[in-house]
Order: sequence, then structure tokens, then C-alpha cells
Amino acid sequence: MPHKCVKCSKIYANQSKQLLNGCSCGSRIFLYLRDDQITLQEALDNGLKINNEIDLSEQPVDSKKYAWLQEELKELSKEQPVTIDYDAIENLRILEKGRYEIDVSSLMEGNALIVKDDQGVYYVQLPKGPTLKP
Amino acid sequence: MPLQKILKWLNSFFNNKKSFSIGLYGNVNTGKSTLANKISKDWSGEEMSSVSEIPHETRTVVSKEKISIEVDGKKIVLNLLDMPGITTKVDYREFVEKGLTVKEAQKRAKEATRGIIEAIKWLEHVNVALVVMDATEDPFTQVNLTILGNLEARKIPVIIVANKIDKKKAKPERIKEAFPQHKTVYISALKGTNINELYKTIANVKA
Repeated sequence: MPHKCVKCSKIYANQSKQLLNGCSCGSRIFLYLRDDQITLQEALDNGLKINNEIDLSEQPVDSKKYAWLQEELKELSKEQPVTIDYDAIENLRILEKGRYEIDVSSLMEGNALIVKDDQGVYYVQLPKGPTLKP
Repeated sequence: MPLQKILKWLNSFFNNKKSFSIGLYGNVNTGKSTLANKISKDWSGEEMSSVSEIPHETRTVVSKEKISIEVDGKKIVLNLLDMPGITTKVDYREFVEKGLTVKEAQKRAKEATRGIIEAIKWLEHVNVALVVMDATEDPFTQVNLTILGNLEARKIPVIIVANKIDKKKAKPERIKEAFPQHKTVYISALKGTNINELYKTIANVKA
């Protein structure tokens, strides 16, 4: 499923290397698009047009809206790329700037850091994979 | 020089073998930093953490390495880790009420939240956990139950410290009754009451 950069709105297909390394614009936060997978995939293949219903290219993400969250997440997630998911279970909820709710139990169990903001958008810190030796 | 490298490695290897890490876990404002300071001052002559009435004074993991403790002829070397207080809610408005500006309070809230995540990540480096509880408060809190449950699952030895017994409202026996599966020591970190009992318990858990 595609992921959209919250800064420049560029869309990447699932498993794109940019989802691990960060977008070409430098942002490391992606919006996880949870619509019909096939339609979106077709949209990606056809210049992001979906039967005149949704034109993702003309709906850029409001990067200003996410600017403070990006700063917040940059420090909390230590530069790890994060993906926004609409269906995840959060263990850190940002109610507003300076107000947080923490699911201590979930974090102690070793679950990945999943942040939910006041708009109901989720951010998932991708766990580090094992380091491969050449 | 290769020989120097080998000697350095051997030295660090044996020093590590002797020392182990004790983490101070617990809710906010239970007296973890006061206790860390007491232990550190008793055995190394200097304090290690700053203490404040405003919650979340400790927002990063503070460590004091190679503290040498001697109890009843037993000598142990430990690394003391003073952890940020663990809580399920951080609200900057609480700090504003204590006199911080909104900006300062929001910054403190962010650092405190990051500190909680850091403290949890450090669990895997802790050999023994001192779970510090405020004896004037109800011990049946979500945080206490979660911390203890997790430490038990990880098989990390636990000593419960019922702190603040110098206060009139203190009921440390409530803590002992709540968690009978763990050794509980009643102390006042501020006054130093019963602190030797805690040192003996640490030495025995280590042994």
C-alpha cells in the first residue's frame, strides 16, 4: 500500500527503500494510505488519478499542520523514519503540545513506539532490523 | 600497543564481572533521586541527581558507576541508575501550576515523556531493580503493577522500597501486604532511616 510523505506529498509504494531511509525531501514521516489497495495501486501506476474520485497529487498534505509534530517525533524517535497508520494501537498519545498519555505496559512489552496525535493520526516508529555484516 | 590493549581489555572484563547495575524504578515523586543521592553520598561521598518538588525533575537516566558497598564483610560494586519517574500521563499544565511558563512546562513535559520511554528501554540493562514507592500513597497503581509484572516476567530480582516512612500518613505495611512475593524494606531516604537494612538486602540479593 502506498505511503505519502507529510512534507512534500510524494507517494511511495509499499516496501520502497525511501520508507526506511526517508523521503528525498529529507522528511522521515509518511502518511499510510489505507484506502482500497488496488485502486490506489492503479492510481500510482496512472499518475495518481483515481476515476476522478480522488486526485492525490492535487491534495498535498498540509506540511505546516505537521511541522510541530515532526519536530516532536524527531526527538522522540531519534531520527528513525516513522509511518502514519490509521489502524494501529497507540502507546503514546499526544493530546496537545505538552500533554501526553503513555501506555507503559505496551512499551514494557517491547512493542514499537506508536504515537497518536490529537487529530487521530498515528505514527509508527519502525523497529530497527538486525545489522547485516558484509 | 597491543599489550596495553590486552591489559585494558582484561581490566575492563574483570571490573565488569564484579559490578552489576541497580535501577531505581517507580512512579513520579516517590523519592528515587533522594534515595540515589543517599546511596551515592554514603558510598562515594557525592550526590548524583537533582531533586525537586516539581514532578519529573529526573528526565534522563542518571548513572553513577562503580559504587563500592560493604555490608557485614561483603563487598559489592554496583552501577546505580536513577530512572525518570514512570507515569501514564504527562501534562504540562501541572508544571504551570508549580510556577513554570507554558513554554518551559511544555518542554519539561516533552523531556519527561522521552525520559519514560528511555527508562523502559533501560530495563534490559538492569540486574536488580529497586522499585521505590511512596508509603503515604495507595500502592495499587497501574504503574506499580505494570512495573512489577514486567520485572517478574523478565526475571529481574526486585526489592520494593517503601519510602517516606518519616511522614505521619505513611503506611508501609500496606505495600508489604500488596506485594508479598517481594522483599519490602521500609525506609526514609530523606532522613536515612533504616537505610542499612536496604544495603543488607541489596548485598543479599546480589549474593
